[in-house]
Formats: sequence, C-alpha cells, structure tokens
Amino acid sequence: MQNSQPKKNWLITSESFARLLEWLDDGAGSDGQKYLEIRRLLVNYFDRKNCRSPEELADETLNRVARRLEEEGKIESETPAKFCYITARFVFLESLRRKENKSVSIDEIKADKIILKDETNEKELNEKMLACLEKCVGELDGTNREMIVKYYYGAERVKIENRRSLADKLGVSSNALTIRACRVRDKLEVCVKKCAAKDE
Amino acid sequence: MDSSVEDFRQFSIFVQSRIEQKMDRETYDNQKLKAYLLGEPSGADADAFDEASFTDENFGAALSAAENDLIDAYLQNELRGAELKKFESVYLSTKHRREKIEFARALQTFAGKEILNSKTETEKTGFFAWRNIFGNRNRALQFGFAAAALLVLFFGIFWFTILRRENAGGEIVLKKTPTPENSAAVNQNSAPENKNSNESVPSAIQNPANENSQNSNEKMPETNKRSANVNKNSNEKNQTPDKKIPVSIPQEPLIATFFLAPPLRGANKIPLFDVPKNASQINVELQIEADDYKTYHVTLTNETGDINLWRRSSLKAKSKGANKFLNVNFPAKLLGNGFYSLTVSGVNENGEAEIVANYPFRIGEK
Repeated sequence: MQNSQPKKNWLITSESFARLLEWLDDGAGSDGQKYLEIRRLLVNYFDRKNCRSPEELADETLNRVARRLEEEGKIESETPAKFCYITARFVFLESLRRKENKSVSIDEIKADKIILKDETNEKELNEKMLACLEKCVGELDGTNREMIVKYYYGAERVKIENRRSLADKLGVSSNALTIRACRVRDKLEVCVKKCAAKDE
Repeated sequence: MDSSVEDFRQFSIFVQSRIEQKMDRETYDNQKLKAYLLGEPSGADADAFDEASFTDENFGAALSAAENDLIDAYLQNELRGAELKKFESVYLSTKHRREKIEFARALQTFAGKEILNSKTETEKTGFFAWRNIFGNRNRALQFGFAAAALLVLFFGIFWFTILRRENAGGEIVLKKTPTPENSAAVNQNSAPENKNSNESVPSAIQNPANENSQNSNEKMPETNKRSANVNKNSNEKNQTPDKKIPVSIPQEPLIATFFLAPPLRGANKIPLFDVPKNASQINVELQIEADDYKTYHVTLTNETGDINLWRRSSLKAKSKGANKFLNVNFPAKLLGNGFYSLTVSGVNENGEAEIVANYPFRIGEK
C-alpha cells in the first residue's frame, strides 16, 4: 500500500511543501493552521510512544507524506489526518528497529538520566517562563485572558466552583468551557516556548 | 490580505463553536483517557485510541483536556497511590512531557498572582481606598507596622517559651506529658522522644519556596531542645524515678501542635504527622498567604472532602512577624490514620464564605 522506505536523497522543496499544505487543508484554506495542528498531533503521538525525539519524527512523517504527494500527485485513499497517522505508525516502528540496532553511547544514557537539579538555573528558567507567559497572556483578547486565569486558579473545590461560575458567565456548558480553555492553553504553550527560545 | 485573515478568524470561531456543541453531546470516559495517557491499554485498544487522536477531533479535544487535568491534578497533589506512581514513572519519562509540567506550573502560578493582584486592585479603589496603609505612598507606616509586628513576635516567643512554661503545664509540642505514675518512664525517654518529635515536624517545614514558614518553624525545635535540656537537668538532679519533673504538671490534657504552610501549586508532598496516642487535642497553626477577610471559617474534612468532621467559625488571623496565621484546636479522637484536609474560608462583607485555601495533611502511626 505504501512505500515507507525513506529516500535519503529526497529534500522537501517549497513547491512540495505548498502542495502538502493544500492537501492537508482539504480545500478549507487554513493558512497553514492545519499543518501546525497535524504536526502537534504527530508530536504528541510520538511522545506518548516515549520516543526520544518526537519533533524530529513528526517532521520525518510530514516529509514522507510530502514526498508521496509529489510522486503520486494526489492521495485519495484516506483522509489527510488518517494518512498522516498511518505514515506515523511506520515511522514509529522503524524508529524502534533503529533503536534496537543502534548502540547507545554512555553519554546519551547519562544525558537521559540526568535531571537538572541546579536550583539557581531552575529558578531562572521559571522566572523566564513566567515573564513569557505574562507577555503571551497579554496578547490574548480580554475574554480569553480572564477565562484562562480564572480557569486555572485554585485547587479542588475552589477550582470546581470557579469553573462552574465561569461557564455560567460565558453561557457555555462545562465541557465546552474545558475545550475552550484547552485550546487557549495550547496556544499559550506554543507562544511561551517560542518566547523562551528567543531569549536564549 | 486583511479580509482573508478576518475570514479565517471567523471560520475558526465557527469551527470551534461547532466542536463545542458536538462535545456537549458526546462525552468520553475520563478514566479510560487517563489510563491511555498513563500507558495502560496496549495492542488493539491503544491503536484505536492512537488513530482516534488523529481522525476524531472530539476525541482529540477530550484527550487534550484529560491530559491537562491529569497534569494539574499532579501539581496540586491530587493524585494518590498507584495513579501517582504510574504518573511519575510513565508520564514524566519524556522531556517533552516534563516541559508540559513546567508550563502548567507556571500557568498556575501566574493565575494565582493575577487573582491576588486583582483583589489588591479592588482594595485600592472605592471608599476605603485611603485606608490602604500598605499602599505605595505609606512606606513609613509600612516600616512602622513591620517593626511593631517584630516586637509582637519577640514578645510572643518570650511569653511562649518562658512565661507560659512557668505558669502552665502539660501543653507540650509533640511531646509526652509525664503524669505522677509514669514520670520515671518519661524522664528516661524524654531526650529521644524530643528527637523523634522533631523529626516529624520537618514534614511541615520542608517547603523550599516558603522561607518564612521555615524560619518560624525553626523556633519549634529550639523550644523542644530547651524542654529536653530542662528534662535532662532534672534527670541529673533526680536519680530516683519517683521524683517529679518541674516543667510539666500532669493535670492538663496533652495537646499535639503542628504547623501547616499554604499549599504551593507545585509538586510538594502532603505533610505527614505522627500524633501521640494519648494526645487529647490537636492544635494547628495554619499560615495564610494574605489576610483579606475580617473573619474566617475552618472546616476539617475527610480525604474525599465529602464529610465535614469539625468546624470553627469567626476566627481572626493572628500575626507572627510578616506572616498571618489561624489557630485551630480540635479533639484528637476525630483523626485516625489517613488523609484529611483543613479548608479555610474567608467571610466577605456580604457575609458569604469564600474558600481561601485547602491544607491537606496525613496522619501516620497513632
């Protein structure tokens, strides 16, 4: 069904990337948002599989899909999301085989095992993250800003009561509020990561 | 270009609202989602969830929400037992997920700060704004009150350690009160007991982000040391087991005292206390982050929070240095081994109670 063997010499071009974006949009015209969403799903998928480099594997998956599109012109057998998932499965299985065959150096093992315990560094990272978060929350509109602050304030009963009153105020159900808060949180996480990376 | 951006924005809002409407009709088993996130289903079940995470937007949204709730529950010490172990061994095993934890921690800290700032802003406006003596224009008053608070603290320590010990007996911090019958046994064992009681106190002290609580708790072991020294001195003087210890008078009931700092929104363990079997009362000092209310209620509940075991109303916060405390006293027989929680609620101007903080704790060997 699918040639999942990577062609090492193949490089994605701007045309093949544009074709990939168009195919992922499935005619909707998302301006690249669908690509970012699929990439996020791929990163989470590889992360759940405890892969060491989920972002690299996500990019490898999308590269293969782009190559397939270039070779065949179109893919109509599956929806874009499902095709990406199927490709991701192959990429994951190959990464497992690579892991079995590869000898890992002691430095790599140590790098995995060492958890940063430098308190000064950790404190600086936390402060930077808070500063970035403040900046990113400032870029939200008033309603989302208030929602995200109240949604995540408090513990146990305080949190439950806050969320209930927030849902009433916004005129939505608890489930709908949860989804909304989740989306805003995901956006903030991406924004904070970019901000923190910029400052380094 | 601007119109296409606006079109996309409208489209996004439309899609989001449709998903929210559909989610209202479809609900997913949260327990199964949590189990999936913690690596439990394998084989065909895991494959089905994997595929759904790509192909079913509703499932993806529910999964994302379940993951966020799981992370938040971990940070707020709401995970217990096997679930906690699973989370720490499975979920925290990748760098990507550890970064999600750090972001979630920052988000909770930020939310807490924003709420407190908005409360402070409310106090600075309105009819009573000029009475805000802790505002920026009143530095002299701030220093004056800080100095007065320090004086009160020193006097309080003086009273607690010297005057109170001379006048009363039996109220010993995490220490046995000797009675005429067992004064011999206590004399022989008092030094090691003091050491043991001090070892259980640090479970409430080890709160690295809260240095003030550490400083105030460091006073307690000194108090115990002083009591131990008195007992040691009396041991040296009184060689026969029938002699009484001058410090303690056995008529008063035994009160075990411990201290709870405000729960931090981070990965802190629940404090564990060992209450002596013959303690009749438990005295708890609850440190509160800010004294925003005139009076407070404190409720003792069981682990699940659905049963109120004890309640006290109309409490006023007391000062110890820069910190504020509520002091509560309840019968020791209410507590067995297990998890409990003290919930502090502030009473606002309308007479309504608003929950301020929850202080979870655990009772060990009793």
